[in-house]
Amino acid sequence: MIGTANMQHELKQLYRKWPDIRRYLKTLGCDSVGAEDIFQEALLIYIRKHESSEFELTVEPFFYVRNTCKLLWYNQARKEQKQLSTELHENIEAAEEVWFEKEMKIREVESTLEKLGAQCQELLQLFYGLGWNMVDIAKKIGLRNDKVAKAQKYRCLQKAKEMIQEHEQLVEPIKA
Amino acid sequence: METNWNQLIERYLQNELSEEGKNAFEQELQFNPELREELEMHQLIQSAAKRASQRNMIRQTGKMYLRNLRIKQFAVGVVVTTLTAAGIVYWIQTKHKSNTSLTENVSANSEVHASERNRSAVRIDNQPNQSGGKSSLIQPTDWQMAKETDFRSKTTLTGLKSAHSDFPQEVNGNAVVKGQGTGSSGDSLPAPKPTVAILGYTNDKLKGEVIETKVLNGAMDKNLLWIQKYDSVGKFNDLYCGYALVMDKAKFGFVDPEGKIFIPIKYDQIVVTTNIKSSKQKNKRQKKKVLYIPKRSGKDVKDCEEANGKISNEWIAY
Repeated sequence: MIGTANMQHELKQLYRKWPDIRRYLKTLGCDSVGAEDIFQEALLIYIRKHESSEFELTVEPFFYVRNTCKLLWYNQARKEQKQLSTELHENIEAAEEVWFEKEMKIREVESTLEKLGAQCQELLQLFYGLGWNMVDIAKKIGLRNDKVAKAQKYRCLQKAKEMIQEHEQLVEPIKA
Repeated sequence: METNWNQLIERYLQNELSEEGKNAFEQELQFNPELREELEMHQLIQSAAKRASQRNMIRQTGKMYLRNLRIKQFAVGVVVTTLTAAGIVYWIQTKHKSNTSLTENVSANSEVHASERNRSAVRIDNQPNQSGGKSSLIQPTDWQMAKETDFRSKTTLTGLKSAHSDFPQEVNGNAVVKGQGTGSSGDSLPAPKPTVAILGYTNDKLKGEVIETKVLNGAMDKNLLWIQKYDSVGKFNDLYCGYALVMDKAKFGFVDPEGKIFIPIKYDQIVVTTNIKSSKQKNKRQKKKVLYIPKRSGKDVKDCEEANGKISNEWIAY
């Protein structure tokens, strides 16, 4: 577990390598708009991985992020049915892991949460993401007091659950 | 009912339940698959919310990175522009000042050399380009260049004597070269004091340049004092019909061997050319004041002699 300040510092350091990563992704056939999304996703995976206690970094952060970028890009390209050399394909299969799949699932939920109202999103992010207490959150997002904020949080959670269930119902038939 | 579950799950995950409550919840969890599913989804949402906040942090970092990059690029741009502008301004200023500043420079130089050379007046070799080219220009900058080169190579002799007093005898035709110490005035030297070598040019029409080396006793010829009035004085040259180019405050003119002004010192540029008409045409649009001189070489030098007395008219006529 590392503090937010440390994390931010490390992110800054990694962001300096962005031009290198962009070049690298371009050689793989990624366009520059998609490249930044992939890079940010890779950074996200890196800091989340960093938080789990059993994670041990065997390579430099830069190489880890670069590898993740590659992985994400192949995942995306496969979804978009782009032509890829089989050799690289197999490498990716081997590199996939349970953690990664779970992370992708969380990512889907995350994109569903984006359909929530702005206030709900901020509330949930502040509470679960940054661990603020309800009093501060209420002040920050303009609610009367922490009780109201707490009630609002439940409402948001409920709404999120409903949305996810809806989403699953929509997606399931396609999967099947 | 669902809302209650929500609260329970939430409190369980936040570790707010009492020991008994926690146990009861976990027991319920084992027998209630719906609750398990609910809990799982709850955890997913929590993770997703956390992930979203982390994503925001990354986006902010990205924006900061871009902003910093822009600021850096902007700063570099400003610095480069400023430097370029300063460079241009400096260049223009030096160009304007070149006359004065370079003269200072040269005079500083000349001090050094003069001390070496017994503080004799310094005279610079400068004559029109005789080989090739229809015409040649003499401008203040070129003049300076000539000076500097000469200083560096020290080829020019430093002392100078206006040849006026000696000319009459020498015009007889033979170059007189006298070594140091054997000069005509050598006998009058009580001690081997530092001597000054002196070069003079006559306008001898037969032999071209006549070089005379003469040993002078420390003190300079009084007649040379006029040289110091000008910034720079050229050789008395055949090509100028025996007159010498002088420069003062970036203007050119000509003096005769006695230091009298022959052509007033008011020209920005001197053009020595074979075809005065075309040169004039070329420089028509320039605002500089230009003096055109017919280029003479070899046999033309004769004309010089013939035209003597009328030269002034001839030159100025253009």
